[in-house]
Amino acid sequence: MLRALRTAALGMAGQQMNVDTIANNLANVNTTGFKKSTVEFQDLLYETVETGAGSALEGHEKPDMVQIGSGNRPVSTYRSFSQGGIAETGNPLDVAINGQGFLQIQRPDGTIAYSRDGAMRVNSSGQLVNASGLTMYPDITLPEGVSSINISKDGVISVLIDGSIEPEEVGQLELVTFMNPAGMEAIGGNLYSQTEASGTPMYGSPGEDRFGVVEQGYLEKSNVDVVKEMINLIVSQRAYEINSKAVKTADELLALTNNIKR
Amino acid sequence: MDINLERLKNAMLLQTQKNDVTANNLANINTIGFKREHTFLQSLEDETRNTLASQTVHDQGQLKQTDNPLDLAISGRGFFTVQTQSGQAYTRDGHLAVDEYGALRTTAGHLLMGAGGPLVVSQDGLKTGSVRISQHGEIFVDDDYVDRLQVVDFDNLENLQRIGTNLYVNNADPQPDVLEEPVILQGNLETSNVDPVQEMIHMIELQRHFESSQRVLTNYDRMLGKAANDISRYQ
Repeated sequence: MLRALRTAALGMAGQQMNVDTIANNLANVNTTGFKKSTVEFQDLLYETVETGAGSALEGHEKPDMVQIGSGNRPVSTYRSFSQGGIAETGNPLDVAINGQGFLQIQRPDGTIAYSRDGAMRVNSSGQLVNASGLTMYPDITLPEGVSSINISKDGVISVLIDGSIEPEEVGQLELVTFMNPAGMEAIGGNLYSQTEASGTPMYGSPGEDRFGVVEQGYLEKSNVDVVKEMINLIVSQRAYEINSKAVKTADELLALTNNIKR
Repeated sequence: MDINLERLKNAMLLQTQKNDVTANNLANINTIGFKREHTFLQSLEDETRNTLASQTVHDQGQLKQTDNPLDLAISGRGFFTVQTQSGQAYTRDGHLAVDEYGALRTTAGHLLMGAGGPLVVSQDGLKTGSVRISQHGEIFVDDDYVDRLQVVDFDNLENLQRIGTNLYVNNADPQPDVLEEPVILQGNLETSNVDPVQEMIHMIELQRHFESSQRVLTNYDRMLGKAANDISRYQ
């Protein structure tokens, strides 16, 4: 009976985590480049209970065994890197990656993080930075007196300087892919970092091989589907509820047991 | 008297075990590919008492569509084969990921097996989006045939034992049959086949059964009390 209590409690804890994840997806429904997560569950170990010696009936090949499980556990949060919708912003420093690939961003400690968020800005020294002020990698610095910026589909950034007619090339955006992008670790700020599970980064230029192209003046929206999340929310709330009923049943059985002897 | 108490105790114990199984079914209501366990009582030949038996119900779970090309569901019979440290195991959970070497693995990290060993879908720099799996389990990477999924079936599913992490192992001698034409649906996952209504009814049933056994036991106890205390009282 105590096993049933624990099993149902694990069921509730798992659904709680499911709701947490859905809430985070919904909270980020308008976050640029956000990728939704789903929780994956697995069953836990089983105990094979022998139900009395000689329980095999005449003519039975083997005794029936009873396997009593011990609940479930969340085993991973799977991040879906499917393409989000692409929305026009009109800002010349916004880029959306249409297809696979991540932009590289240099963190303050010098390590490289990866992002799908292509909302870039220029800092006081002319460097291209992301929305939270971290510099893009490879480092791209705009010269002074820029009148217009053009980013081609293959990531080449060229600028037109006041008074000149010839555009000047200042750098190129580089994209990175991973064998298993779902294995990357989300570190907040729309950034991901490489892990053992994701594999090592593979570099390329936008539009090359299987890398996506960059679209200037657009941003990638989140890939969260509100209707789907709402349905998942209903399912996990009900699953939570029904597990609480299992707790209640186990509790009532225990109460009855206590009442055997008054 | 003795025997009757023993039988009541047994009846109550069986109900609590049934409750454990029901609780596990409910806890796994959202576990991909989970199959519910059905418990039933069976009488011994001399009819002195019942024992509990259970069976895994391998009915098809509903399919849910996902956006992921590496989510596979089997429609109808069959199990995916995976490699564990202690040999081959079988699962209906087709939620896969590509590891850092380009091999397909389940969420628990076990290698998914094809007809020719572990399935590797990487060619240098390949992304996972380009994996296509036909209805019969042939795997194409960029339209190049790689291998086919090892989908197996068993004559007697009762020989399968659960070992957790959505896996089953085969306990008996007969080797599994490889299915030539399994029905694989890419971009789908099979949900658990636990029916909440049925499980709730089970819980109500077993709780009431437990309750009536408890009542009878309490009454026996009273009778025994009377026998011990009142009969011997002269006055």
